[in-house]
Amino acid sequence: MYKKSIIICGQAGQGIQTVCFILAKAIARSGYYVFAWQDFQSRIRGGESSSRLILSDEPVRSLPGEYDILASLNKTNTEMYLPLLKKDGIALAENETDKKFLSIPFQKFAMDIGENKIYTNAAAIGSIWGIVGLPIEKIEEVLKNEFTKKSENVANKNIAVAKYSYDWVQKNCSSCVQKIKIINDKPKMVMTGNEAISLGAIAADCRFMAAYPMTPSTGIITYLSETAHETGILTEQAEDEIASINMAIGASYAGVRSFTATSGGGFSLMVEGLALAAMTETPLVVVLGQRPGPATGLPTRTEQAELNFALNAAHGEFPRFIFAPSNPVEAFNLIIKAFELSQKYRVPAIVLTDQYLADSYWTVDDFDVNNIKINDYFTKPEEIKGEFKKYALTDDGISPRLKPGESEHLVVDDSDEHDQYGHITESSIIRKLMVEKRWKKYCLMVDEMRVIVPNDINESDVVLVSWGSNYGVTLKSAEILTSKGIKTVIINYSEIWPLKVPAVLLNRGRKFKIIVIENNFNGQFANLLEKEGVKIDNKILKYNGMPFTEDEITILISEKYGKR
Amino acid sequence: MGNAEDFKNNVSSAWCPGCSNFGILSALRNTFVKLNLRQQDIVITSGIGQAAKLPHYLNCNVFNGLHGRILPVATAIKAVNPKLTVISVSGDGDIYGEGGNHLLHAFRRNPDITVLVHNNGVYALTKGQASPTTELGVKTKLQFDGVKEEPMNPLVLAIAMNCSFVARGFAGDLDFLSDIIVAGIIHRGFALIDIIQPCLTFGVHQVPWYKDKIYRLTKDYNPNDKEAALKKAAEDGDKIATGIFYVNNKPTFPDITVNLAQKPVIEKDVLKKLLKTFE
Ligand SMILES: Cc1ncc(C[n+]2csc(CCOP(=O)(O)OP(=O)(O)O)c2C)c(N)n1
Ligand code: SF4
Repeated sequence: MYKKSIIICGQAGQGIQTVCFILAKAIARSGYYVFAWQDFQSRIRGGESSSRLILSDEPVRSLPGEYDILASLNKTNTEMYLPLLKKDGIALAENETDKKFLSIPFQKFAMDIGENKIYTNAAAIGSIWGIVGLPIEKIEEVLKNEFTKKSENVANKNIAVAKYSYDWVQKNCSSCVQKIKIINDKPKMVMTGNEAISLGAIAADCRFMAAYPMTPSTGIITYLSETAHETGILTEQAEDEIASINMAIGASYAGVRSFTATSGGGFSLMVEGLALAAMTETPLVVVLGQRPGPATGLPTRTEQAELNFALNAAHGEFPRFIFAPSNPVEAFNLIIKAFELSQKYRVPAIVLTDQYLADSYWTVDDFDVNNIKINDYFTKPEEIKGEFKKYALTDDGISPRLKPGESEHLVVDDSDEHDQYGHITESSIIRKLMVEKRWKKYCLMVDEMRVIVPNDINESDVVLVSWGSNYGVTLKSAEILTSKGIKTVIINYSEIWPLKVPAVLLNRGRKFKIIVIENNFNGQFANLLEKEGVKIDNKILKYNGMPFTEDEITILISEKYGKR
Repeated sequence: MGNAEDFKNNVSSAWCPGCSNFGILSALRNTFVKLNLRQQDIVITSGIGQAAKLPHYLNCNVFNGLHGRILPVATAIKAVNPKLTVISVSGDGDIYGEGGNHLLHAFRRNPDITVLVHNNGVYALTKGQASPTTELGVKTKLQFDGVKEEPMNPLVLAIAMNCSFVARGFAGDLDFLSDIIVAGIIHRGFALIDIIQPCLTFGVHQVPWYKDKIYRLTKDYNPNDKEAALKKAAEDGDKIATGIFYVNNKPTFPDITVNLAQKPVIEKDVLKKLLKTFE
C-alpha cells in the first residue's frame, strides 16, 4: 500500500481549504484515493487552522497520528504542528530560516510569475504537488476547471505560478521528491458528506428543503440551492429552525418529499415540530449534523453526543428511525433509505452526521444510481372506497395517504389527538386506539434495519463496535491490531434505531472482548447496547472536539489486550 | 355555484354558545361560495387556540398544526401546490405572540396565503391571560395588577413592513368581513386580515360596545398610499376603521408556479450529470 499524509496549516482567510480542495481533486484525478479533514476555528480571519490530507492507492477514511509533509502558509503557527510531523518528514514554509524547513518564497513566486499576491496559494499548491511527486498536468487540469469560471486569465496565472513552484521544488530539493505514477483508473469523485447527502436527497426525489444555516449542516442547503435550477428542488432559507421544520412538514403534507438539516442547537428548536410530524404521521427527514455541545459548544469541531437527544427528542411517545452514515456512499444510500422508510411508515427519520463526515473531502468511486428504487407510497384516490380516513385504523398501523387537492377526498391533519378522519377528539377510547396505531408500526420498522456482523467474529480476540463516522478509524485500527497479533474485527452501526442487536453479542460464552469506540463522554451507544443485555468490556471515548486517530485506538488496545 | 351548506360538517363545536367566532365561520363559508371554490381546492390551516379550532368546523382540507407555527406550514403548502387556496386561521396570541417571528418574515417572503386573525385581546383557550393586543391596565387573573406592556398594533407593523395586503374586519359586520376576505383571497400575496372578535367569556368589550365605534372605509380611501395607510392604522380615537388599509403588489414566494407534488420523479440523468461535476 502506498500512502502519503500532508498537513497544510495557516490562518483562517488564507485559503487553506482551497489549497486542500485543489490538491484533493488532483489526487483523485490521478487515480488515488484521498481523504481531507478540516481542522478549523470558528472565525473568518486569523487563528490557527489546518487541513489534513491523506493520499493512498487504497481507500482512506481515517487520520494517522503523524504526517509525511507539513506545509505552512503562515509562520506564526507552524510550531504547534511540528510535533505531528514524522521524524523523516518534510516541512515547507515561506521564508523560513530554521534548517528544519525547506524555505520557499511562495509570495515572491506569486508576484514574479502571477504579478499578484493572490497567487500565493497557487505557489503552495505547486510546491506541495512537487513533493507529492505526481505529474503537474493534473493540477493544471483542476486549476483550469475551477478558475476558468472566474476568468481565463486567472486560471492561466494560477497554472503558471503552480507550475513554476512545482519545477522549483523538484530542482531545489530533489531529495524530498519521490515521484509516483498516475493510476489509470475510472475517475473518482471528490465530495463532502454534505454533498453526498444532498445528492442522495435528489436521488430520493426530494422536492423541498428548508433550513437555517448552522455548521456542520449548512453545506446541504447550499448545494441544493446551487443546483436547484437543474433539479427543480425548491429550497428556502427559513427565519429559524422552527420555521424550517414546519415548512418541511407543510411541504410533506402537500404531497412532496421534504427535509431539513441543522445541528444540535437548531434541532433543539425543532423538537416540537418533530412531535408534530409524528402526531400527524407526516413523513419527514431531519439531518442532524452533530458538533460538540452543550449550547454553542465548539462550532467547527466534531463529536457524537447527539445520539440520546435524537432518540428522545420531543414530547410524547412515538416511533422513529435513526441513521448514522459512516461515509459519503453510505450517506447517499441511507438518506434515500430514510426518505423511503419515512414515507412508508409515516414516521420521522433522523440522519445523524458530524463535522468529520459532513465537511471532510472524501473520494467516492461511484454511487449505484441505476439500482435506486423510489416507491410511491401514496394511495390512488380511486382506490379509496367510501369516505377517506387519513388515520384509518389498520392491522399494521399504516393508513392510506392522499395529497390535498388531488381528488374530492379531503385530507385532514391535526396536532391534537384526532379521530380516524383527522378531527380533534378528546375521547379516551380513540386516544388509546391512536397511540396503539402509531406504535403498531414499530415491529415492522425493526425488520428494516441492517447490521453487518463479520463471519469470523467468533475467532476474534476483540470486536470493535462503533457507529457513524468512526467506521473509518475502527476499520483501520482493526487492521493494525490484527497485524500485531490481536485478531480484531469490527461492527459499525450506521442503521441505529430501531436497534438491532446480533445474537452473537449477547452470547455469554463468547471469547472476544467487546470494545465500543465513541466521540462522547458517556458512551451513549454502549449504554444502549448494555440496556439490551450486551456486556461491554471497554469503552474508548474521546470528547475534546477532535476525531480519533489510528494510533490512539491501537495503542490503548494493544497495551491492554496485547499478548506479552 | 355551491352553497354554504357544502362547507358544513358534523364536527361538534367546542366554542362557547353565542361566541363571535361562529359569525366569522359563517362569513368564511359565504366567502367560499362567492369565490365559487370547491372544498378540495381549499386548505384551511391553523395553530392552537380557540380560533384555531375553526378548520375542524369546515368541510375542506385541513392542517391544524402547532401553537404559533402555522405560517411556515401554510407557506410551504402553497409553495408546493400553488393551485390550492391556502388560508390560515389564528388568534392574537398564536400569531402576534408565539409566532411573531414567522409573521415578520411572512411580510418579507410574501407567500400567496390569507391569514385571518381572530383578535379577541386575550388568550382564551388558556383561560383569559393577557395577549399582545390586550389594552394597558386590563386586569386578568394572571395580570392581577393590570397589563403593563403596551399593546402592539398589528396593522401599523404590517404596513410598516410592506405587507402586501393589510385589512381589519369586525365579527359584528359579517357582510363586510366576507367582502374583505374575498378581496384578501383574490389578492396575490400575503394578506393579513385582523378581525376584531369580542370574546364573550373573557373579553373586555362586547359586540354592542364596538358597534358605535366601528365604521367602514369608503371608496375614496386609497389603499395604495402607504403614508395614509400608516396614519389610518395608527388612529387611536373613538372610532375604529375597518376595511382594506393597504395593498402593495410585489413578487410572491416562491417565484415558480409549478405543482411540485404532481411533477414526475427527478430524472436519473440529472443526477448523473451532477455526479460528473465531482470528478
Ligand atoms: C408551545 C405552546 N405553548 C403554549 C400553549 C398553550 N396555549 C394554547 S392556546 C394559547 C393561547 C391562545 O390564544 P390566542 O391565540 O389569542 O387564541 P384564542 O384562544 O384567544 O382564540 C396558549 C398559550 C401551547 N398549546 N403550545
Ligand atoms: S372563550 Fe371567548 S373566544 Fe373562546 S369560544 Fe368562548 S367566547 Fe369565544
